Amino acid sequence: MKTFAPRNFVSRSISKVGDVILYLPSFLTYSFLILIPFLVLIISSVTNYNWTYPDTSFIGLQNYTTLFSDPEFRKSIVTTLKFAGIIIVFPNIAGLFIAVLLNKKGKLYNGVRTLIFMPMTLSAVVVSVVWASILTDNGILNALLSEIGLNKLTQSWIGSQSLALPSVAFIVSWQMVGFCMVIYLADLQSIPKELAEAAKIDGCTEFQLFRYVSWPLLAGSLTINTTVLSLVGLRLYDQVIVVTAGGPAGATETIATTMVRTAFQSARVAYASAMAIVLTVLVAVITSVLVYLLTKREVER
Amino acid sequence: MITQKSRRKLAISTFAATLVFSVALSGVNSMSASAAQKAGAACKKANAVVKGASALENLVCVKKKGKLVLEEQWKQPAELSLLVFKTPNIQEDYWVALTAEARKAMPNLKIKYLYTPGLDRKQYAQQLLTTNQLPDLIWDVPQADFAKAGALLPYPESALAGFNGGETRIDGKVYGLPMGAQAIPVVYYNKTQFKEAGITSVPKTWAEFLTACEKLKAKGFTPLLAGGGSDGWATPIMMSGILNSDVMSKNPKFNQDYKSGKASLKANALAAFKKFEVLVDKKYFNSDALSINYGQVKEKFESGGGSMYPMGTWQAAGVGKGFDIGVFPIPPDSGSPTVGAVVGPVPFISAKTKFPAQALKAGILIASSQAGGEAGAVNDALFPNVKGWKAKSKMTQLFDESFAIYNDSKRVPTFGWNGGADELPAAFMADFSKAIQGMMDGSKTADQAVDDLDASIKKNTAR
Repeated sequence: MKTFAPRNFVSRSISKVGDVILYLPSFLTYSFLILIPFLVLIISSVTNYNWTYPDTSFIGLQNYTTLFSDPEFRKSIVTTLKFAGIIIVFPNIAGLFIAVLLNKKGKLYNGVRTLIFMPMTLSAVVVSVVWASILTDNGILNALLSEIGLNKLTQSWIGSQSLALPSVAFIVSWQMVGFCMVIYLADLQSIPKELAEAAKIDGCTEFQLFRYVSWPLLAGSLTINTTVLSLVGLRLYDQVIVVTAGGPAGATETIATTMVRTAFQSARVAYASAMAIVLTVLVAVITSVLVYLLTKREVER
Repeated sequence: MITQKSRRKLAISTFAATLVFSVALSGVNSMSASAAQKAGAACKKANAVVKGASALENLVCVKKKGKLVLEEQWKQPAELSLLVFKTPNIQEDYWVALTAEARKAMPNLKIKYLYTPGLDRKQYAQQLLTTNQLPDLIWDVPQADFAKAGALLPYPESALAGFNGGETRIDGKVYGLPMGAQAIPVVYYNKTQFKEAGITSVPKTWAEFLTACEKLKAKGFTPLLAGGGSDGWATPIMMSGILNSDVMSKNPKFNQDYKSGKASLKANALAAFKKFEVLVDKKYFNSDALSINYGQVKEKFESGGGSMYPMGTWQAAGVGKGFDIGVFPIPPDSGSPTVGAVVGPVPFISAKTKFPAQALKAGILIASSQAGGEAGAVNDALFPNVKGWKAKSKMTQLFDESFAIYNDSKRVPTFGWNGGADELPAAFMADFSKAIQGMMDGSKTADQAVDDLDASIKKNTAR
């Protein structure tokens, strides 16, 4: 078979230049949008840049040492991890449950799947504004509970420190259920029917069918959903700002909200840059560990 | 016949004339620009700028009726972006009315209105500054931070001629004009609920205030309303009022001393925080205070959902549904009341505006406009500070009563609302809101709140 491999030095060089030209647009885009801003962030984090002061100087790792002894920042790390924990678990479980229930053909099932996916088409801010009005003390939820005689269950869902975090996490989870459902459905529908038929012939119940046939084959979906949900939870900002603005009394301040407030209200941009680096490392470590464990599980399955 | 002597004389006189003419032309800069304009000095090059003492006095060379003449630079075409906001009281028509006289006096000016997405307009302005998107004119900024960062263009002294004083200065410069005043806060109350609770006169001392709260609570009313949620600035407004009354009244420079470390809340204001703690412990506030925003708490008061509503005098533009609203100042322990007063300053001008002359002129015309003062008074109960301002509409009784409190009480800078030298860092104000929220949900005592805030002011005034 005739090949087109370059035969001499000039041809090889021209081929390499051609490769570079092909890679260049992506590399330049990546550099301008990600690499260079990240480098600027790192450089900023080792200075004392504050936009209300004209002079800036290098201060080494002082911002980082201050960060880890800052009780406000440590609290925001814990709050962020709590949010991430809830957001990784609940939409995954709910999305899987709904996907299994709706893994059938028919217009009704199509319609319900569309309805459940619809929140994903709305912006996080719109969803948050709507849910904030439902969850406020005199909102629809408490009014409904009072109406059906469940006054004892009425709470200050977003006004109390103990419930504000789970309430905001619920809002995020509610929106992400549709995403998880779609991912699980795609995998469920690609499971060969012959496997299910064979299992049924062998006397499997529905639960056994799910546990021993479907669930192992959903390992890839679990990896995707968990990775996406961990990114959403660890970088949480919009929903917190709209619903509680980080309150009440700082109960829902995440790393992202603390970082933005430090940069724009306190003008301590360098300190906020250090927070951004810490958040990046945290997201990278957690998602890497999750992906490693889940991918290993995928291979085993 | 032209002799050598006459030739010499001609040369000397021509030289002298040229010299004088050159000095006259080049000396346009050394005499005031307005004097040059009056002198009818011609200009040679279109669009050449003759600088005045400030950008407001700049002249530019323009072609008029085939001739190049000097004209005020502020009259030249420009498009200025104006960052403003909306509240339940203030919508687009307010800003259109406010800028009407400026647009009439400057027919070549186009104004593009930009609205802050939320009610925290200072934080939004900070975001725009750090992303290099600050509009030409901004209604509200954290003045001290912006001035320190060199982000604002100062007004010339001549801009203050149309106002009754009260301007805030930073290092002697004025960055916003003293357009109107507000007292922050006073206490608006539901007259019907007061009557039903047997309260026959407004409280004049703190003891009477507590008695009134107890009577209202006994009658099943919510004595005090507060809001928070996404509008964290609203939560500590009652605490600001107590601090104005108990701390600022004794030391009007407290904000400055606090920032410089000469004073602390622990040493000077713990008793005031303990007063607020009593109000929380006795459950005088609405139980949903931390979950409702500013718009919702305002609606709650105007619908009769609470008896007393501590708020800035902009509430005087509000109307009770089925009841009359009255007003009184925060009662002191004894003696005459004190109110925290904020005069202007508005609007601010970006130092990077491409049209400084037009921006300065527009700022002055907007702040000093009669129609603007009228719109401010009617929509936002702003007490106009413009010389010779007279109301064309009949103001409401509530406006007149609020204005009387402002005029008759001792006025001091507020704790947290003033600009200039008295301005507290924006990040500290966020911590102030957080501390008061903590007190309101029982997770912080007055001592803890005060300690947190003293630590916050140190952190936020350091580099």
